[in-house]
Amino acid sequence: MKAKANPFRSYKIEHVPYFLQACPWDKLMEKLKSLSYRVAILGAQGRGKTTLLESLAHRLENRGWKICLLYFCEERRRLSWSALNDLRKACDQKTLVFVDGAGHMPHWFWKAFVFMLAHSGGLIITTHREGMLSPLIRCETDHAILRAVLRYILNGQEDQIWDLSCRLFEKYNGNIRDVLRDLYECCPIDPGKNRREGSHLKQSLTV
Amino acid sequence: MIDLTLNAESYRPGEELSGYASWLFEKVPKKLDIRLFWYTQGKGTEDALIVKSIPVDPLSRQGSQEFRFPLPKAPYSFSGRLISLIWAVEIIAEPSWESARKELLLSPSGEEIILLKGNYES
Repeated sequence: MKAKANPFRSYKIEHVPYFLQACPWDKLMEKLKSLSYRVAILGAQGRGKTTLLESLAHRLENRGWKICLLYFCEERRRLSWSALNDLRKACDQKTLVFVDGAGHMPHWFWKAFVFMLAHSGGLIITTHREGMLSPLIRCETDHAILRAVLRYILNGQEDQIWDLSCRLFEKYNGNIRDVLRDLYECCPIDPGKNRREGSHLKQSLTV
Repeated sequence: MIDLTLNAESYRPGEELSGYASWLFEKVPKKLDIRLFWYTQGKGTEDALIVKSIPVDPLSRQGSQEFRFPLPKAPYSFSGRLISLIWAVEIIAEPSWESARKELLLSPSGEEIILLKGNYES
């Protein structure tokens, strides 16, 4: 199969929407508001934290908030002081700062980060680490979520690879991202182009 | 609503691509660009490069425009098991991000170059 036709190509995987667990969107939004928009999305790797963060950012942008989305990882653990200062100046009470991978920040930088953005409308982070901010939700995966993700990617043809997917789900201890990565190598299904893909060049509000 | 038409779908390096774009928006967009670009798809992180961009000016709620792009010599359109390189023209409006895209092929034969063809079903 050509890479561009593989249903598990990275573009498709990155655009899978968040499939909520027990907590519906309106309750999640209520809780977010009650915690003054300063919350952490917790969970192990491959549980959908980033997907939920991006979905939340999109929903809140539609409600009139200004959104600033930052990504941290092992290779990029902090901003420069000038970038942090620019961010501070750009933020106001109508700005929500979203941080993916906040747990990668060194503790001293995290403290400075929170202090510098105290005047912003909110701070919503994903992290494996407990205790950084009040927890909004703990992302978990199960077979129902795995099936929903596969159904979305394969346009309803997930039965053909369900047994294999379940074995991979056990192998990777519930890390759906790793399951999808392995399925790239062995998926025989071409689900066709039923879903229109958006622009490949759209720039999100990513710093 | 945006519509995009290319006068041909496959090209040789250095040829000129031409086409036609038309649009109808609810509001006048702040920016409307017609872009020639390539991007990759596959297992790894996507790569993309805008080769040439034509800003539509003056902006209007409804309109149309012909466009021409001189095509570069490379990279060629290709597909392997792990990566595909795809050329496309796109018209995109801001701030709504409404867009339309048409893919094209760029190679010396005018066809997509297939890597490791024996491994493919189709």
